[in-house]
Amino acid sequence: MNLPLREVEPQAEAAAPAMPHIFVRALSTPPGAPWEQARAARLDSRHGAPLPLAELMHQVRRLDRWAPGQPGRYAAFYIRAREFREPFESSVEVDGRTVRVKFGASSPDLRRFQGAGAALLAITLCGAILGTGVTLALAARREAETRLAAEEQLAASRLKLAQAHRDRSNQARDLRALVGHARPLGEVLGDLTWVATSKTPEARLTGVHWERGLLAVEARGEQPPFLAVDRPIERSPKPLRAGVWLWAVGRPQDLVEQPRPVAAELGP
Amino acid sequence: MTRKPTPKAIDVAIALAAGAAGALVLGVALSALATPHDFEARTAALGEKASRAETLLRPVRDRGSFGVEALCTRDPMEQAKLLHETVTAEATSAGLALDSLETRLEPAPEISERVTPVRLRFSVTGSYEATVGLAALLSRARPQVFVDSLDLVPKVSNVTLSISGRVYCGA
Repeated sequence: MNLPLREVEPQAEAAAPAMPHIFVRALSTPPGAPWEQARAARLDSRHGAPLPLAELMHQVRRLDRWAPGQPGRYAAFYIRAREFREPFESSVEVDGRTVRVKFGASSPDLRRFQGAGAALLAITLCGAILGTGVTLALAARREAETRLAAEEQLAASRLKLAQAHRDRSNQARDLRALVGHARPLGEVLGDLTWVATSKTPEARLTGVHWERGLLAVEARGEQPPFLAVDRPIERSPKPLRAGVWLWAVGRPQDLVEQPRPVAAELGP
Repeated sequence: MTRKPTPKAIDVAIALAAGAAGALVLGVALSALATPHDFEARTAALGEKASRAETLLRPVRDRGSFGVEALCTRDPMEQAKLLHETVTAEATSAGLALDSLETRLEPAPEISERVTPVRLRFSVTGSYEATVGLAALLSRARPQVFVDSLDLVPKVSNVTLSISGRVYCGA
């Protein structure tokens, strides 16, 4: 139900300059549930707006109490949006009763709201920064702990290996004393090679013996079986068997270390 | 003529200083939080361990001493078995007759109780080249074979090579 629109001069409180004009429409809705009546009033206020809704600010207020089977009485209040400067309140006469109308929030409320919003935003921001910082710091700490533990494990392994290496080095150093007169097989083969390459073509060797650093060769005949002069050789005083003599072969350095007997009588 | 700062500018300056101080304190606190509490001590211990390892890894070879590769790293029993298998396999491969072969552990010497000698004694018969070839192969093997005695005796067209030596195993 549409009721006539009238313009009301707002009763300005204190000295409120240039207060927007409030247009009032009294509305009536058919009997029904309170929410249905409220919905009908809202629809009516929109359809019956004096100007396009985009140019208006409006609100709907119920004027009477709801009662079953009774129509609802409402009032729609409009102001031009372009006239709205700041929140304001005003008293408006509608159907013989005074209604307080409030457009927008009051300034102190708005400021308080803005202040609370800013404080909330600041607290949220600070919390986010602090939380992120703490999270990142804890992650960095965990990473450092992990890396440190890995480094410690590696260092312990390296130290253990180094200790084992040192132990073995010490043992290898002591090996010279352990082996006594024994020689690495490679050195002994060197002596065998010397025998093979230094013997005369006529020499008839019947045995080569190497023991505890001493080299001796069995050869038939009294003639020296070797041509080389880089090692001292000496024949045994007596033959080993008939026609077989034992020749002691010294080391090359024995030629320098004079005087020193080079013969070592081996065998039977 | 100097301009007096407005109260608002002073407030801003105080706020900025407070913000900077807060950021500094926050940075220091986060830095402390990000560092494990015993970081310095553990890092120092790591450095010490690295230094000790470096010292231990320095060569200790005296003039004329053997390298670490001269020693065997295996269990002595295992090394004895390996020597036995090697000599048998190589002699067979070279076509030599394996007259005798013995490998056994010997008691540790008094001067170095942590070293175990493994006695190797064998005798093979075959061509001169094959017998010396077997000896050459053993001479290149590691650990080193230290020879106490070697006899090379010709027998008709062949030679018999007898070697008695030892291999040393560290603990």
